Amino acid sequence: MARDYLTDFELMILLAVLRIGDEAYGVPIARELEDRGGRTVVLSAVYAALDRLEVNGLVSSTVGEPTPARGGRAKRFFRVTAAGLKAVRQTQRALTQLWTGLPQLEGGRR
Amino acid sequence: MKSRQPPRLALALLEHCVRGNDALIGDVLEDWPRRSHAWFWGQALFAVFAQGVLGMRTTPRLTAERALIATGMLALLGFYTVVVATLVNRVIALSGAGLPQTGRYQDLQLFFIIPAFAGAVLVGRVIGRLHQTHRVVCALGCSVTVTIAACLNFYLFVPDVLAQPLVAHPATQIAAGMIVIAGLFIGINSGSSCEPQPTS
Repeated sequence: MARDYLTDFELMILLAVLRIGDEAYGVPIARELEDRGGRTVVLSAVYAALDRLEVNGLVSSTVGEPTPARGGRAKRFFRVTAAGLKAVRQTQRALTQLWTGLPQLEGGRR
Repeated sequence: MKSRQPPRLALALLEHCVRGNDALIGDVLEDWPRRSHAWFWGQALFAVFAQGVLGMRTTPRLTAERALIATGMLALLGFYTVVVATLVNRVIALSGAGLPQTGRYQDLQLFFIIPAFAGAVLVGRVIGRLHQTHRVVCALGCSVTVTIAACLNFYLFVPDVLAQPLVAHPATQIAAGMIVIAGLFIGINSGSSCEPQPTS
């Protein structure tokens, strides 16, 4: 049964794919997560999450042309689907609602 | 500028165990020039591990069967290690010959963990690919691999193994054995489950 919520890693991957646009494949997605997300990632973990998201219909993928720099292997480009965009918005709404009204998190204090 | 090659063993491991995912291998190779050897090894080992876990999730019954076989192998290994060690001790005592010196490379045991794991994964991968057609050969192959690994481990890394009633540093030896068996298990799992799946 497909889950109707996103893990934090899946959410970060969807945001990275949205941010990169048409050139979203493994390497730029991983770099985006490292540079902006501030976490070290392994590519197979990224692919495992992307495969899960694709099974759930939240992203779609297409295979590009093989290139010599990649040992003759093709890139797999990802796009966020309409269902993926909806899931991101739902998660954002849920997080925002949980976030608001917490005195501990106001004004940058501990 | 850089013309260095990726670690060959790690690349072979990646290519053999993650054969169905060319995009992942291509990404690792593309990103490699700005990374270290340790990064490449990390990517390869995690990919193999993830492949094994994926196989466990998608074929739970087959995985349970293999886990049972692995547990049986471990029990059998423990049993005949004790029996063989006792017999060897007796033979040596009866023949009057001196005990062979073991454990010459005791301090290097940690450095052999990754190559041993990688080797076990590769052997497991071959066994996994053959196990549908040659089950008996594969069972023997598993047994022989684990036995050779155990004997090499004792000979190279455990000092005076034949002269003592109990193996020195048993926790370390059990951990080393478990790593080899885990490698074998992951290799078997990925070997029979990482073929490209037909798309519906």
